[in-house]
Amino acid sequence: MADWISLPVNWVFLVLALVIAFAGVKVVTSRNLIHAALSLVGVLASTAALFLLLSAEFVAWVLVLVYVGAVLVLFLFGIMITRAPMGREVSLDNERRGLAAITALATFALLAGTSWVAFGDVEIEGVGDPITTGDLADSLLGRYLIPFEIVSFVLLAALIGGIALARKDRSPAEEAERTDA
Amino acid sequence: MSEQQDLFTAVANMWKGFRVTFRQMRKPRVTTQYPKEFREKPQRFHGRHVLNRYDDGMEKCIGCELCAGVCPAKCIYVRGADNPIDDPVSPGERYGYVYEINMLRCIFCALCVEACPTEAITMTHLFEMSTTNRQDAIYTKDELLVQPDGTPNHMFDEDHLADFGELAAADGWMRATSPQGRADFSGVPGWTPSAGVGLRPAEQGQSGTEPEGEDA
Amino acid sequence: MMPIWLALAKVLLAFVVGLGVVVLLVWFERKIVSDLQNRIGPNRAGPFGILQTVADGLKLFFKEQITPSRVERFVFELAPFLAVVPALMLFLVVPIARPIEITLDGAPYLLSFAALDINVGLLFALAMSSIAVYAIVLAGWSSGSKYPLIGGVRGSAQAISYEAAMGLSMVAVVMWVTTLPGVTDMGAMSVNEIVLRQQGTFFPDLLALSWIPQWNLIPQFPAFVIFMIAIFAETNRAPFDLVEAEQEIVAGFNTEYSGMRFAMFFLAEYLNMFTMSALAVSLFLGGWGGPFLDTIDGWAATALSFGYFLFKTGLVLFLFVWVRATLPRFRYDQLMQLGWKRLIPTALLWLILTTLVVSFREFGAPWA
Repeated sequence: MADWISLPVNWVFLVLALVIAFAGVKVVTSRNLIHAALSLVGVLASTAALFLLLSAEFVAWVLVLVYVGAVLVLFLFGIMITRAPMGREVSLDNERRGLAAITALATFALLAGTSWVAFGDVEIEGVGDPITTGDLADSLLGRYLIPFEIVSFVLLAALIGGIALARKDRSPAEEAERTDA
Repeated sequence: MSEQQDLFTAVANMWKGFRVTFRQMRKPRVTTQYPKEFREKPQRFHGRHVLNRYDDGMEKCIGCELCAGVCPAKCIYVRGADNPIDDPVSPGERYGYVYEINMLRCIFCALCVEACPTEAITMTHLFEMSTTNRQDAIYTKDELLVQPDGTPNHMFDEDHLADFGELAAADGWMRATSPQGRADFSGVPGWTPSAGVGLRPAEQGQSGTEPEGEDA
Repeated sequence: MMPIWLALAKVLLAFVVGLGVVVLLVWFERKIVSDLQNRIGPNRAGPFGILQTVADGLKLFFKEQITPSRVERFVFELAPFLAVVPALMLFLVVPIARPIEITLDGAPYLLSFAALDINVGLLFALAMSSIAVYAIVLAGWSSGSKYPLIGGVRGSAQAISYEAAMGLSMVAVVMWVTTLPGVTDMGAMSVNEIVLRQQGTFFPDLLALSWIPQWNLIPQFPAFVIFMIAIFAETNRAPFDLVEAEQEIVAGFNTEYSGMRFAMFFLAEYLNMFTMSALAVSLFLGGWGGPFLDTIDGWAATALSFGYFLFKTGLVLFLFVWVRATLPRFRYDQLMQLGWKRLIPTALLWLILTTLVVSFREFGAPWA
């Protein structure tokens, strides 16, 4: 344990892990919807910092760009355009909070225990040079090409779904008018 | 601008717009560096009021309260008093004993100038009337009345910025348009210089003589 | 391995340059806008009004910071900082002068003047500009009144729409830059590397054309145009300033801010303007490059290159101000239409074209 603490990387990891844990709890327990979204920002930003600790620069900044910069902004839009709540929202409270907390703790114990047992004595060698985009591209388009292409299908499905959902619903009268004209 | 403007026309139009603004850089600027430079006010500018005097130094105001009556903003407060026998202030029986104008309420419409039967109150080109409290904005008779030589008072001598040469421009034109103007007086100079004393010399088309009549 | 003090010194330099230029930039804008509008701008505070920004800053410093009762306190107070910090961080990746050889612990070391000289500099810049969106939307929401909310939501929608176009044009530039020979061992996404690869001329052998510098402006001109339009929209500058124009929506998302908090937003806007211009200069106009840099070397050349950088950024900033003085404002739906329906497809098209050209050059014709 002593040599774990002696490395500064591990202190930073400890701080980040605590931030993630605390912010994660705030996400699910916060009474205000916007506070929950902002805590999610904290979680994701700290995750990006964790990636930085592992020298995965590209992934870290892409995570910030996509998750924090786009996905969460859209979350916030969705909340603000539909409700824009301020102050406490009573409907966010759940009566079964106790059971939920127990389930969460049990899941956490299971995951943590499994990870500890499986990887407890693996040491990550000193993370050195940053992983370049070139290496990332080589593996994405080399070894992991097929998963990459499958993921693009998922994106296509999401796009089509979005367009279908956002399309203006036309009443049958308007449809008939369109086919006649 | 039609929707179907093609790209080149749109870009060309935009470029023309940009050239217009760019060319302004080579033209002279229109800003006046107030207070060092001073832009001349129009001749009939509604500036601050003054109470005028006659040539011999007597005040023109007779305390009739017509100006207070006509004022739409109710900003003039006048009280007349009988002229002391041995030391008359105005030619006539009464004079303006209390005369106050609240400049914060005044809307500078010059109806008081139109209403005054003796051209006692006229408007100058003075416009620097800033004060630091509401009390100071109520101009009393001492401030409104012109000096014996005809120059107007300025409340804060240390920061008067106006060019007194400007004040020589006339503004008593209201007198000629007022319903009180008698036909006998048309063509006779009855203009009061904007601030001050006496009458202007006759202009082109005006005779220099007063009309005959018992109450001329 | 760069020592900590050197890294901190570079960051401090970037900070000082950024804030110093912003103070001058406010004055610059006011003077140029007034020149374009036939009037004299500020000319009382200091010679030619140079100290006007300082006077404004002092005034805002002493102004009362009114906090309305309905605001969400924590977020309300956080938003101004969220506006300034990403703008400053963005500036860290921009190289402001030519790298210079110094000896560090006895070994030669090429000191680059980008405070954050990382492999993925451009991606970092994009990430920071997407964080800047939060300031707008959170400021608008936390003010607790309807005009800021509308302004905030619209402003952030505008920002994320044009971010996509900005990113796509940057990607096209990065792809093009990979065809140029590398200088340091950083990848093509490092802004310092992109600037270094733009030094030199296109046709050094042809005497008549040997003066044309190898700037990305020429082979990537459409990307330049798209990038410029996108950064006008990102920084909420005219003609895309609907969300904060006084005639439209009071002051949009920063209506309820007064005093030093408003000064932070003000500072952040001009800082963003400067930083995006610096990025545009680095990506497209050859950064700190210029004539006569090969003939002299040492710190004199570095200083000269800093001067070139400032001059070019000044040109782009003049363009910002010129556009503000000339073009009328876009309506919000026109703005969104321009972003999504015209700019992004154009950027994609240009990206595909660039890809084709780059792969031709790299791998030869597919039919060969």
